[in-house]
Amino acid sequence: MRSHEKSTRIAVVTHERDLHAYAVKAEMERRYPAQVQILECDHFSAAPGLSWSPDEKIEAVLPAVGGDAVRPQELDAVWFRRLANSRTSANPEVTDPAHRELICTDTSGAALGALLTEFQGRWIDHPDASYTAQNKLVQLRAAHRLGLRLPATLISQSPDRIRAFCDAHPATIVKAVNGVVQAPAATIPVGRELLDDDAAMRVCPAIYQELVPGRRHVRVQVFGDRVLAALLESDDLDWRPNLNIPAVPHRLPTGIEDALRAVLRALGLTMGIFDLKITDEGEYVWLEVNPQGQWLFVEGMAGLPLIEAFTDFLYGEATR
Amino acid sequence: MTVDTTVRPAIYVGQERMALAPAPKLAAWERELIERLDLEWDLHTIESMHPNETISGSGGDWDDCDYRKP
Repeated sequence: MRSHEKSTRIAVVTHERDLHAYAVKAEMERRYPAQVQILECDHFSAAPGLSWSPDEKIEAVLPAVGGDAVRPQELDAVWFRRLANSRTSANPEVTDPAHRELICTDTSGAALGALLTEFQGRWIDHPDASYTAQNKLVQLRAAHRLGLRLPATLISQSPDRIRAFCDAHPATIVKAVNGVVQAPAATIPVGRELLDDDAAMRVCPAIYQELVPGRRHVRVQVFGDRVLAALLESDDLDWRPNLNIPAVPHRLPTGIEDALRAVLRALGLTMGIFDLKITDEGEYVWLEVNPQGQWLFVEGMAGLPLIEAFTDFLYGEATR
Repeated sequence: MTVDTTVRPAIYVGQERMALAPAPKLAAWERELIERLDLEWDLHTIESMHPNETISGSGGDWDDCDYRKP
């Protein structure tokens, strides 16, 4: 443990009842001279609320869980996890969906602006980098340029091009470019029903990819230089809907670890949660990176010490 | 996705929305963690969550949809 004259101050920007945030706060305050404040952006209507002014005559403050006023300029690090929550339980007295959306959108915008203008410490990770890296096209291009093996991929809403792609790759999957939390969709095989439905293909772009066969899925947590991977075994194409599956710690080949770190550097990130798949021939295939993806469940399923590892990483970044 | 529609985007052809299966072992681990952290709220009774959705997991599309740019 490094010793510091004053307690290191860290804020987690997230939504209500984020177990990741609470687990890391407890671990951090138990092991390090640090104070972690949780900023639940969907509950900013609680006192003292958010305030900011362009001339700085009014002190910028954000409300933390427990009612503390957090001054962004006093923070050493911000773990920028989540900014909005369309499913929040906050403000139940507001029932008009448009009003609820306004509260979500305007609170997010004000919180982000207050942090971008006032906070001078370490971002984990900077919003610009996180949002850009979240884009599947950007990350696919980065992974391709860095030599990772990708499934053959087409992002399109052209029925002719999609059918030609599927003809060339007889086993093909379709998945969302972004998706919506109101109706999450699993990755599914492309079937005849879709290929005969021009309107469905044309109405918006989707990701069409060569299906990677096999049942060995890998979830990789990269926190700084540290890489912690778990092997999830599932016959399902998309393991996310059923987490009642075998999961064990997994050691990646050094070349894959290095390649994933290189992707993060290229995307301007210090952390990332990757999804890979191992083919029957033992080759690692890139699927995606989630800049602030969920990782806590991997500790629960595979026993990897992720809370401890992330806490070490976050404290290290905050005190650099 | 229960609304009648004449055209549905490609990702919804063949599925309504992601169907979540129960994950009792993970849910039990989460309950133990919550108890260890001395959190007072019961995360497994969040009204907006699917009954089979875990709070630390990825099943609700938290990875992809939850932090879009304002």
